[in-house]
Amino acid sequence: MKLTIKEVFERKKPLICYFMAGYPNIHDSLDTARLMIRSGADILEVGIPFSDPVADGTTIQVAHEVALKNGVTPINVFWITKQLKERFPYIPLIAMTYYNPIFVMGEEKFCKIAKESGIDGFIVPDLPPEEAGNFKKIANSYELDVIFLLAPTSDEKRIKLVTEISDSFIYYVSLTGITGARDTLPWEELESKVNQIKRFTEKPVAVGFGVSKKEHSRRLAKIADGVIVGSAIVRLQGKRDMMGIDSLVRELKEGIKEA
Amino acid sequence: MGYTYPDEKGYFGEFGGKFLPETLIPALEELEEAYEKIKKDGDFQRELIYYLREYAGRPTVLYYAKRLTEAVGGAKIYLKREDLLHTGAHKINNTLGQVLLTKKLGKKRIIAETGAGQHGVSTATAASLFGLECVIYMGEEDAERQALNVFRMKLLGAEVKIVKAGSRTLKDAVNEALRDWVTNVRTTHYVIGSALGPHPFPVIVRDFQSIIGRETKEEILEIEGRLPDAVVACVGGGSNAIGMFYPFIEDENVRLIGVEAAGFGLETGQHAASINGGSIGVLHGMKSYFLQDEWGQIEQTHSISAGLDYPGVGPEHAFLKQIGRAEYITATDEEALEGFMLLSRTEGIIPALESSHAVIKAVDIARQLGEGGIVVINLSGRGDKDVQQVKNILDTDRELSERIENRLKNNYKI
Repeated sequence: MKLTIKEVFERKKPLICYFMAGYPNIHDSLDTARLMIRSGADILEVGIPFSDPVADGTTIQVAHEVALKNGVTPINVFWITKQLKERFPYIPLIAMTYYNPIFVMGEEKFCKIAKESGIDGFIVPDLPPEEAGNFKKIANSYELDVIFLLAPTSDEKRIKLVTEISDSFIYYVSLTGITGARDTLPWEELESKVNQIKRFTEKPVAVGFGVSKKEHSRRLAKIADGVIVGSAIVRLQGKRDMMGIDSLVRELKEGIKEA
Repeated sequence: MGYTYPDEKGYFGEFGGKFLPETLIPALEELEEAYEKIKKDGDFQRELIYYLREYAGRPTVLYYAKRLTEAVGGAKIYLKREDLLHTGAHKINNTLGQVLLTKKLGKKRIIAETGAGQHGVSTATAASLFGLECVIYMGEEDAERQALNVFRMKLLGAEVKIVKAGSRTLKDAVNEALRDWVTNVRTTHYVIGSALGPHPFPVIVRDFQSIIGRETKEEILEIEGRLPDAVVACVGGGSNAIGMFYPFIEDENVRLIGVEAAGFGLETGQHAASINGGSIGVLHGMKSYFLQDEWGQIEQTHSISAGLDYPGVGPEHAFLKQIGRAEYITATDEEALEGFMLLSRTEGIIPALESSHAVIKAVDIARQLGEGGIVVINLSGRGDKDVQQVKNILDTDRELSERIENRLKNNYKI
């Protein structure tokens, strides 16, 4: 059965797992994705490689670089998502990409191909609401969600803006910084910020950046409605450490269940 | 009439905007607000003018290059001598302004990117002058090419962080500075070195640099009693050019001519001419022209001058090109070398390789305009930093060296 992002959030607090398409090569990245689903991922975030990933730390930067060296284009990424959607229709797929590849292909064409390839939504870290009007209109016309981010630096005015415009859920960035696994998270600030956001919206709030272990997912699931993991996966993905990925995803998932 | 760009969203026509992660958007809004305030703050403006005059050496002279004019044979050529400023280039106009602005923001730490090291040195200088903590990001490849500037920045008390990611040049230094800014935005101001990046940076840098054009206007009116027929400036990101152009935008009889770096030639693909050889895209917070492939991946650039070696251009230049108010032409590495030697030999002024692009194209324009015309070159920086590099090139490529010597002999009355 097919499930939308919204429907998954209605059923549970999802574990959202990011991987870089085409890293370390196309087939291994597809294997990573399949494995994560079997290990318990509820939603996948599919990274589209870009030459200048300014919001990413070293781990994911390397993944962008290697994937580009492999000649991976959005078309290859969409081939991967199509395979995934055919086999796992109940797992929503969110494309995570910087804006330029969308802009250069053309927003309309990008959305059309994405939709045909099983994509359910987009996260575009360098496209704040102010710049996203047209893209969101087109994406929504293809029944694609555009998920916006909030950060520790966002004030009330921005919380209002983002909670209103974001489709299906809000992506809260746990810390002021770039992506990358962290030992600990700024828990106090995190909790008060998520609570503040929830005063403005009924939409679920998922937290990402820095998540790397069970203790994180357990504490986050108490505070928020979903947990996003990226760099910790990508680090293992680069080493083709399938056992490592399997146990990390299971561990994070257990953390959510224990919460 | 009246040129009022950018609009309230930071757009010059379709170019500009604010394409950065959410974490930084509040800082951009704060910066915008603070900047609006200090624009009207007499104390701030007086303090800035004080430092520009007493410390940096403003106003710079507008110098009539008589021997160059005679050697070329055509319009009178004037040089706006930004090369005489402290630290050797126009960059200091912006860094002093932004460092004073940092103080107003109550921040104690500044970061900057640098290619050749000019903006890094200039930022480190201003940080030292005002006692701010300063971190400069520089690509590994650039740091190797410009080892002396790395030492210079350290001497001035800055920390230099070498960037090993991506192409290990200016573009990657900008990426790394943005990553630092995302992490430390609460305590840190990012002193962007050119008229680019997200709104309000293109406006801030333009305004701080436009003292170049304002002085030029006054000076030429005093000397010649009229405005020039053309002003010429090199364009990488475009800060010296926009500083020269902006005060002339509404003077429609003044041609505004930007010179991009054609490297080994536009046809080779190895160049840094974003307007002439690129297409519209979004990077480093702005919509503008970029050198990129069909998938929107940013491409490698090449220019003999590290200061022009950037795959994009400031959004206001993209706009001035689109509305036809400014013209953008190109000069190759070899042409730039010719300009470098021509000015050294005729005027005893060694120009920066960046500015040499403007020098050599001003020759063509002066000839087009003919006697009775007036052309102003923005001599944005001095060439001391480039002497070693030029020596190496001329020593190793004898044919190139001969070609240039022949042209100097045949095309000019020296």
